[in-house]
Amino acid sequence: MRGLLVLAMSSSLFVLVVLVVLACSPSYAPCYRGEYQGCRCESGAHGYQACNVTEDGFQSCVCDGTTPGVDGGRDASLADAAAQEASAGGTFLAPCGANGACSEPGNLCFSFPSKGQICTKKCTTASDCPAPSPGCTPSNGVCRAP
Amino acid sequence: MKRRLSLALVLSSSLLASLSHAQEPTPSSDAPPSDAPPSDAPPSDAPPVGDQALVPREPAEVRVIGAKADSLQRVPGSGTLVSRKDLERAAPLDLAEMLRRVPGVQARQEYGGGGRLDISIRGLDAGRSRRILMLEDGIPISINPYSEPDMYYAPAVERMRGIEVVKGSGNILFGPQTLAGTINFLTLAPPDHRTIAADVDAGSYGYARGLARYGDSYGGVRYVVQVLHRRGDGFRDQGFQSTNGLAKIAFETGADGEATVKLGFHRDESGSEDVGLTRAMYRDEPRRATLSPASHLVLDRYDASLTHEQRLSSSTKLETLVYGYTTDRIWRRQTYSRSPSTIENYDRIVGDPTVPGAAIYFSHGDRILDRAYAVVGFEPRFEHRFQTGEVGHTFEFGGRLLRESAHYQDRKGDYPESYSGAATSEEKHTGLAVAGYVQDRIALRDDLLLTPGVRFEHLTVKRTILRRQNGTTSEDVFVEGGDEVNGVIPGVGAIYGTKKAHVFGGLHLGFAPPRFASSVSVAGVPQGVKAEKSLNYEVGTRITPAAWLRSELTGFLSTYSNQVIANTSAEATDATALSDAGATSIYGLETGWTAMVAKLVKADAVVDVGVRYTYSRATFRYGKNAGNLLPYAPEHSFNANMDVELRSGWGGQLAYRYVGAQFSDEANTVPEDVTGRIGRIDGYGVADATVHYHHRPSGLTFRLTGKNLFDSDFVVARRPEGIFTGGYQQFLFGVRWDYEARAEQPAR
Repeated sequence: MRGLLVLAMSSSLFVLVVLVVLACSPSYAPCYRGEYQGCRCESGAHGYQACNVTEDGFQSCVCDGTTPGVDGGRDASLADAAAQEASAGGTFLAPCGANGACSEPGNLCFSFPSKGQICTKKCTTASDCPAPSPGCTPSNGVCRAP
Repeated sequence: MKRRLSLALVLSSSLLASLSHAQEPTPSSDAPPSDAPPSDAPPSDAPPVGDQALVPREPAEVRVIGAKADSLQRVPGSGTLVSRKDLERAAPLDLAEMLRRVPGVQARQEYGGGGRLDISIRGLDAGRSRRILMLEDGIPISINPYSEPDMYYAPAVERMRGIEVVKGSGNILFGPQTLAGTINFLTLAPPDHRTIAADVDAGSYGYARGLARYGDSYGGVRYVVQVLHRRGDGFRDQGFQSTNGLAKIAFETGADGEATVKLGFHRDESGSEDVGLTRAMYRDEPRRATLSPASHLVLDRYDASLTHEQRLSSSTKLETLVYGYTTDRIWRRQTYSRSPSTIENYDRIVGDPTVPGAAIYFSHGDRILDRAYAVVGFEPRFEHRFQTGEVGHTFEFGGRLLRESAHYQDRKGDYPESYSGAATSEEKHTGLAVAGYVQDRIALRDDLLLTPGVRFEHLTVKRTILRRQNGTTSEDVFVEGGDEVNGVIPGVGAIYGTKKAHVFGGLHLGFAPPRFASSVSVAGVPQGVKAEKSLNYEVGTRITPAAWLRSELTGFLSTYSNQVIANTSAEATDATALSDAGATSIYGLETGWTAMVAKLVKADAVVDVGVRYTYSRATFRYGKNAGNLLPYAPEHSFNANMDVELRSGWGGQLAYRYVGAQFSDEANTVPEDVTGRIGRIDGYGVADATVHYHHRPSGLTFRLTGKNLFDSDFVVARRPEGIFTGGYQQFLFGVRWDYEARAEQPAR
């Protein structure tokens, strides 16, 4: 009887822990800024759509016949970033101002290799980085851009 | 040539048979000594708090170290045994965790499920463990042991009860690779009474594992059956699942004979890409999901073996192995380029297309690598003990006849998830190997063993090309070619001292046959590529200064006339994936210490602390890279563990490992290139921990395991194509139930 009780309790504990850990599985961004995916134009031709600055999806399909990165190709994400930069005004995790300045005190303009210049903070641990930053980049000592 | 070899084997057999009635040697007794090393002596090593678990009888099997308590002392060179208790306490997720406990060994297992195994011993290239001889119960397990000794299949750690590692001249008993070391995994032993185990684990990243095992005996026939299933989402959103089955039956074949039949299957399905992160991607988001989610691999393996042990007399033993296994592997990889073209319509463009080389352009298609391998082998192994005057001999000789085959098909698929596609190339390989060895362990005195030996390897290979690429198209062809490779591998080892303190030294020739693709060109012409050879020296000591402390220190030197390494050139293709590094040398030292703290303080518990450190300097000897370190050969590595077992049922383990900085190319380039393929790989340290509680009345054990406790990000490789990261922090919770019937007491 006692053995059965132990077995039942352990099974319940196991199921509980499994549910908790499975709920903690990470989620990934559908895309990263500066990247593209192929798309079908209305004409049937092949086009490309750029990843949003917010990295939660793709912009509309651009059908100008060019391939990003190939001579003569465009870089829609950078153009998009420049447009946002003008409106964001250099706040935390927004693109830096036109002269590389950040409007909030304590922020610094950091050049993320594939995301461009973004206002961020210095950090040593993830707790130094307020949302929506996903954490601290130890190698650079700055908060990650989402 | 084959006829002469067969004749030599038969003659040797006859000669030994005539000596089989010689006197028993007096030294080097097989009886376990009273002060045997704890890792090799289950009874003294058993925790004082356990269930007095009954250790199963050893089945008929081939060991590289041996089953006796003083076996390690008789190995001609350095050797390590990871025992059943070590495995039970560590509750490892994969074999690499346990192999890191061996001085001089670096091990990495890919994927959350542990689908591939990269092992390096003393600075050799770890890629797919191809430089190490990998055995299971003495039977080769790589996909084609002679011509493609790659470990695309990693045995499940749950089917093991021990691991033997031999690094010195003892290697010559087990070819064909004798370059650096032999690793022999020992599978579960069939019990002689009913045992049942059920084990489940679940944890972060969707990890789940279930195991069921049943063993018993019936009418003198002992058997064990085990099924294991494991699945997970992977650290980088690369799902995997694998199923492994093992059935083993042991039975007597007469008064002096026993046989073991083993059947096994293994299936892996996992996301598997060959392209890693670029420099910018890793700096921005080191935990980015896989770049190639459509890339996928399926592997099926079936194996069967019969091991028969016959005691011909009190001093003569014959072991015979007959085995066969097949491995089918199909791997689709979405095609990509780092140099975009205006005429190609790409599916996805990842990275930064504004910087040359920093973006990866994925096409709407894939490459399908379809491979089928088969191996059959037969190995008789004699051991005979006799005496000449005051000198005792343990004479071993045997041979191997092995046939291996491979069927390669490359296809081009029209969409990224295709497993069909149109054939672009196809070829078949076959190899027939004949090997023989002889070794005499000579006990010159009670405290002096000298072990000379020699191994002979002969390999005949044939390559048949059925389809090949011709410019931008493919064409059917029929091109045949063949080649032969021979190797004579001498070695000698010596041990002097007592069980508590002895020194050992050895010298042996390292040998590894060339791969199929490098032996015969695509035109069917033999390339005259020679086998990989090295001269290996080692000298070391094993000391047990106190009952609670044991230690080992070994210095080693290997010189290669031509070492084969992974080609890190950006232009490398499948055909040039391995390249000749020319003359190289490797020297260094390895040391391991184990302190049984509870014995020291006379506590009624087990508290074992083990530390191991390896210094290995592997360098090019000539040419423009002379003096540079070989790629993927870290100079320093260190690991430590503390195992605890208390009477209350609580126990646990802390483990830490550090791998020093290493280079990814022959030029030892420090700065990272934009693709992430070239540059120094910084050293990294990882800590793991396990806590468990064993409830004796119910047989239940609860286990909480944390891997990469400090959640550190680190780079483990820049190959095949870019940056690959190590595993992240992961927590697993597990419950295990063990039932063990009491063994029948013998009638009084």
